[in-house]
Amino acid sequence: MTISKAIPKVPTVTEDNMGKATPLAMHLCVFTYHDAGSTKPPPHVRTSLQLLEEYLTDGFVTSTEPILIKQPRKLEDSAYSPLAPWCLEVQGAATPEGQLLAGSVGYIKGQARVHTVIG
Amino acid sequence: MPVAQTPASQLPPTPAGCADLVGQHGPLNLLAANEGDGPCPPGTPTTPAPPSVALSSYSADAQWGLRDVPNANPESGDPKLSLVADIMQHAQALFQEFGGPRQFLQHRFPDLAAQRMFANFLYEEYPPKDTLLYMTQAKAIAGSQSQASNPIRFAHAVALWVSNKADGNAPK
Repeated sequence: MTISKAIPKVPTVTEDNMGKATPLAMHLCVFTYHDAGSTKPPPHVRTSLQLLEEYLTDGFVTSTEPILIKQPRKLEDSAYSPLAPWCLEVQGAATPEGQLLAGSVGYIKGQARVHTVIG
Repeated sequence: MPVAQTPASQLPPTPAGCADLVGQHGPLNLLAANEGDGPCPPGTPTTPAPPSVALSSYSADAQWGLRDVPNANPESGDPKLSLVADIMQHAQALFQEFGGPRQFLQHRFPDLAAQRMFANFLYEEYPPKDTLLYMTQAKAIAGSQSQASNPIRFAHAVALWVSNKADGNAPK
């Protein structure tokens, strides 16, 4: 089942308004590990291990430095991103309006942090 | 930003569901030990969540780390700390084998069915409770064996989509 153009956009924030905007809380299953999720290369092993050590010591905190995200058009198609668990359970395998697909959110900044914590 | 502290005891228990199908391990062990597992079967219990969960307004977050755990002295030889060492060792082996976490995830969950399984796992194992972000190493250390087998808990990251345009069609 392919659903296109049914995926909502996360509200965007212009750079000028970043300091005023309230970050969104997003479940980690909405983040992608697809190559299309970032223009940057994958996080280095050493970086990831340093992050993991930090998580295990101090926890995983993003409140003071939100993950900066994007929604690549490619990942908005369920051919690339699976339906989110809540869609399957609540909506009967349909993507309801207002929902994100699992793995449909990419990164501008914070890819290493998220990949490390979900990996 | 405000930070709300929620006691570990108030965190939700690990629900039954997909995670139970693939073992009694933490995420790293689970992912490594179940190569070839298919997607969760129909009827796998999940925690329903309204749309607002994924896009809920951020209000606060809380987290715990080893430093918040009483008597978590690395010099004491505390077996709970060996759990952390095990996780690090396991992660190091996996990340080095595959080149990093992204490559590992792509290898482990290469297609839609596998990605869906992983999304289910994340959602089941770390159910959204509210807008809190948490990672309760403390709970694993202070808790039972079953809790200790699942040392890393988290629910949300907070995010901003920065764009040149207000409509979000041209993210920077």
